[in-house]
Order: sequence, then C-alpha cells, then structure tokens
Amino acid sequence: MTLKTGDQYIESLRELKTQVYMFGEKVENWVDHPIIRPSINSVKITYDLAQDPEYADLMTAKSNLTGETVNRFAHLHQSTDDLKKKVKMQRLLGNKTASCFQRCVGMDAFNAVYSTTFECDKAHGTNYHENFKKYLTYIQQNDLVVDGAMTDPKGDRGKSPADQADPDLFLHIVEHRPDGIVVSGSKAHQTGSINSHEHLIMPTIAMTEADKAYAVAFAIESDAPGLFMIYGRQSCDTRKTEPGADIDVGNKQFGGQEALVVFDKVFIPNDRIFLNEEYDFSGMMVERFAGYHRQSYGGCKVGVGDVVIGAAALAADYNGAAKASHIKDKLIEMTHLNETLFSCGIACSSEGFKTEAGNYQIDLLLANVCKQNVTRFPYEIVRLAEDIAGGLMVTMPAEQDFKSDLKVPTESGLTVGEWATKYFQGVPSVTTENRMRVLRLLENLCLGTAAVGYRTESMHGAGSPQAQRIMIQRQGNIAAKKELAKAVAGIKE
Amino acid sequence: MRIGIKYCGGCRAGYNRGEDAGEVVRLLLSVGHLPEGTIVEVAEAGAHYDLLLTVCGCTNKCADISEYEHREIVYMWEPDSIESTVAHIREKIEGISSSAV
Ligand SMILES: Cc1cc2nc3c(=O)[nH]c(=O)nc-3n(C[C@H](O)[C@H](O)[C@H](O)COP(=O)(O)OP(=O)(O)OC[C@H]3O[C@@H](n4cnc5c(N)ncnc54)[C@H](O)[C@@H]3O)c2cc1C
Repeated sequence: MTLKTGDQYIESLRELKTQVYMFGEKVENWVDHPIIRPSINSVKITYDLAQDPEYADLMTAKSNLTGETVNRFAHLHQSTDDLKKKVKMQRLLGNKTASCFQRCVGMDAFNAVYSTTFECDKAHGTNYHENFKKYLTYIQQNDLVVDGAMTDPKGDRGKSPADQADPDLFLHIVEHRPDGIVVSGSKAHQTGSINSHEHLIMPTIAMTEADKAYAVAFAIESDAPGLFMIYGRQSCDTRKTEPGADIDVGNKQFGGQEALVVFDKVFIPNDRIFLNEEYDFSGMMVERFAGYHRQSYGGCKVGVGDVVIGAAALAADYNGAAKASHIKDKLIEMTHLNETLFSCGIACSSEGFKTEAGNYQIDLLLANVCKQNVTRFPYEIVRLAEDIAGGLMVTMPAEQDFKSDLKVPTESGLTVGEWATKYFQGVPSVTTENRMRVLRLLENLCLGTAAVGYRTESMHGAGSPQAQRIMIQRQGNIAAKKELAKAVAGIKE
Repeated sequence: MRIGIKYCGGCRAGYNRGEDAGEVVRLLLSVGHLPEGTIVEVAEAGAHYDLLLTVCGCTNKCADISEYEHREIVYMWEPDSIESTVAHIREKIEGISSSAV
C-alpha cells in the first residue's frame, strides 16, 4: 500500500526547504503558520479520507502504472466511471472542507500531460511520455502532492510571450545544457503551491514558432534551488492571527491557498522534461488541462455550495424565518443551481472518451458549459444566501465583545458580552453563539477567505468566462445545427 | 459466516452511513440474529463473504463491489432504513443457513 496518512503528509512537508515569503518577510515555519495551516489541513483531509473505508471508494483507485491502490488525486482516469468518481470525490471534499482542497490542479495536469506527451512523442520522436510515466510512478508510490502550474503573469495581454517588454512575464527556457534546461519566469495564482511537494509546469497558451522557448513543460521539487513563493493574501486573512481566533474566522479548520511561484534560473534535468520547444503541442496541453479543470469545478464548487445552502437554511431557522414561503423558494433555487453544476460535471464525465495514450478525457463542450455555469451560479447562490442571512453577517460585533465581561456603566450594570448576547438573540431555542457561528461561516464563504475559492476562482480559475465561450463556439457545431433546421423546414440548397 | 461491509464514497449521502451501518451490526449482534462465530468486518478486496452489506448514500448505489466476492448482497442506501436492512439481512442469512443444511 502506497497511501500516506494525513500525519505523514504533514511530517513530509516539514522535511521540505520550500522558501516562502509573506507580508514582506521570509516564513521559516510555514507548516504551523496560522494563516497557512488551515490550507494544509484541507490537503491533509485528502489523505485522511483515503484511509477511511467510508470514503475510500471515491478517494482511491487502482493505478494503471503500478497496479497498486493510489490516492485518486494521483490517478490517470481509466474509464468514464473514473471521471465521474473524480467529480464525486471533489463534491465530497467540498462538503468536508467548505474550501479549496488544492489537489485537483495536479490531478488534472497529470492526465493532460500523460496524453499530450504520448501524441507529441509520436509526432516528434521525443521521449516525454516515458519520462512522464516514470515521474508519475514516483508520485504515486510516494503519495505526493503536485501543484499543476499553468498560468503565467502574462504582462501585456495584447502581446504574445515573445513580444513582452520583460521576457520573464511568461516562463521560458533561458539555457539548454546537455543534461537539461534552465528556466526563468513565474507562475501566478498557484493553488496549494506551498503545500505541494512538487510542481508540474505547463505552458499557458497555444504558441507559434516565435514563442518556442516558452513551450515548456517539466516537473520540479518545490524546494529546488532558485525557486521561491510569495503568498497571496486573502480577504480577512489576518483574523486567523488574532489570539484565540475561532468564531470570527468562520471556518477555523480549513482554507485555501494561492501564491506566486518564482523561478530564477532553475535547472531542470532531462528526465523531468515533458515539452521542450515543441510549440505545436502547447495548445493541446492547455486545452486538455483546462478541459479537466473545467470538469473539476462541477464537483468542488458543488460541494462548497452544499455547505452554503446548509448554512443559509440554518440562518433562516435561527432567525425564525424558515417557514416563510420566499425563504423556502430561495433554498429551492440555490439547490437547483447547485445541482445543475453537478449535472454538468457528471455529464461531461459520462460522455468522456479514451485518448490515444489510454487515459480518459472529458467531453470538451460539456466541460466548458459546466465551467461557464460555474462563472455565474455560485454568485447567485451567494446572493441568495446573503438575502436569507440578513445584514448581521457583516455588522456583528467581534467574538471578544460577546465574551467580554467588561461592565458597561449604565443602570442595568450588564457587561458588553451580556448586551451583545441579549440583542443578537434570534429564536429563543438557539444560543446567540450558534447564530454567530453560522453567520460568520456565511461571511467566510460569501466574502471572506473562502470567497477566494467559491467566488473569484469560480470566475477565473480554469480560465476566465470568455475562454469557455471561445471553446463553446468551436465545439458547438452551428453548421450541423443549420442542417438540422434546413431538413425540418424543407430547405433544399 | 463472514459478513463484509462495503461503503460507497459518500458524495451525496443523505444520512450518516457509518452510524447507521454500525447500528445495523449492533442490532444483529445484540439480538443474536447471527450464527455463532460470525465475523463482521469492513470488506477487504479479494476476500470472500457470505454476505456483503453495501452501504450507499443515495439511489445511485455506485459502490464498486467488483473486488469483493460474495454469495449474497444487501444494499442500504437511504435514511431510516436500519430496521428494514436488519430484516433483509436476516432473510438472507436464513437462506444461506438453510441451503447449508
Ligand atoms: C483563486 C484562483 C486560483 C487559481 N489557481 C490556479 C492554479 O492552481 N494553477 C494555475 O495555473 N492557474 C490558477 N489560476 C489562474 C487562472 O487560470 C487565471 O486567473 C485565468 O486564466 C485568468 O487569468 P488572469 O487572472 O491573468 O486574468 P486576465 O487574463 O487578465 O483576464 C482578465 C480579463 O481580461 C480578459 N482578457 C485577458 N486577455 C485577453 C486578451 N488577450 N484579449 C481579450 N481579453 C482578454 C479576460 O477574458 C478577462 O475578462 C487561479 C486563479 C484564481 C483566481
């Protein structure tokens, strides 16, 4: 058995020498840093649940490379059933963490790189597929977390990689050596990068010959010389550093994470290279990764959506408004939107197909429809949740006020805590503290740290909305639809 | 007799599968519904079971049972089904026991 426990995962992070900067300083013990740790806990649960018979059916799979049971996050999909189980696993983890659990980008990168290298080797006589199989076998056998890193900072969006004022705005090869290449540049918005043992780098866009130095894919240890990360801050993040932080954090245990990953002349040995100037395969790699990742959101966002819906329903109970017909209707609408996303995730998986390399790819049109809906529905779900919650989710005093025994010098002689508790009581059967807890959770999901994953990542992660519209246009086959209309209307041309 | 318990992955479980399955086993053991020496365990791939209790979270019942050899199978997939599951298991056990005579 090659599965690590959650605790072994944490210990393995301690052995890394990953260089992390935050708030202008180097973070030495990033594993226990209060801002970072909740995001590590979200990855840890992907290990814990894989060990648990109640979840193992989704969390694990049999590797086609080794024949052993591996974490599904390191698995190459062998059937449409595997694709569906991936989406279901993501929903499960969204349920458990109510945040981004970060391991999907790596899984999606594995599957995209596996099939693209196979086809690239066929066209160019390269040896990338074997390189990659060897690499993934190592990842599976050691149950490692890998950041799938695609997005470059991109500088001037109107210019190609080679035309940028600063050549490093897209990651590129700066030197070829007999034993490997040297790269410079960076990857932005990297989900879970600090919590990852390794990084799997892919190009951001389709490229032409002029950009061939930018058509590069490879794997690298997160603590390799010349590689470092600058932590991305999130809305309300410093609440986690407040002494005794609990209720005001909204979700004390779990969180997400993004960072800028910088490569300053980093050496990559030949056996870890999966694309090296074959610019004609850059587009395929991008399209396949984006396709898988657009499918992913039909699982993870749905899982978090379940928690948003549950929290909104609880808030209605605690406010004494649950019986109102419009509240019930809003909960129905939220459920309808959320399950529509799940339907898209399952549909693009069911319609998946076998690639030349043998792993399974999702249906591209349906995955893009899935992601296009994801750019909208979580926003509507959050709008309805805020409607149901009431304004208190953003105007409530701090946890310290509710706990304060400072006497207010008025006639009643009550403390700050007693006043706050008295006036923020909802239905008498529920404590003010529980009402606070659910409202803070909603705040966290709608506009706090978790909103990074639930809202803006829904918009831009796996590509901004326009990227899906381009794919929908390409895949939509309007010409065939015109023929259908002509046949029914009796038009002969 | 050997009874294995296999869970689905639990993505849309409408109830606490672990708790309810535990209650099913507790009832079976406490009322002496199981033949003496019966082993009840979390199913292990490759093992043979007289009865596989497959605990799922929804009607899809997608638990992968391909690696668990079994003579009889009982599915549990919805809330409030502890008693009906116990009854169903008892029926199957009686069938197994009588066919063994
Ligand atoms: C929370 C979060 C997590 C992420 N995690 C990862 C990750 O783990 N790995 C990873 O590789 N990436 C990750 N991403 C990056 C994600 O893929 C990008 O955000 C996305 O591709 C959009 O790029 P951008 O943010 O640079 O926005 P931009 O590209 O600047 O887009 C902003 C707007 O400009 C438009 N635009 C941009 N360029 C053009 C153009 N040439 N012509 C016309 N319009 C244009 C876009 O359509 C959009 O409307 C993550 C992003 C977020 C927000």
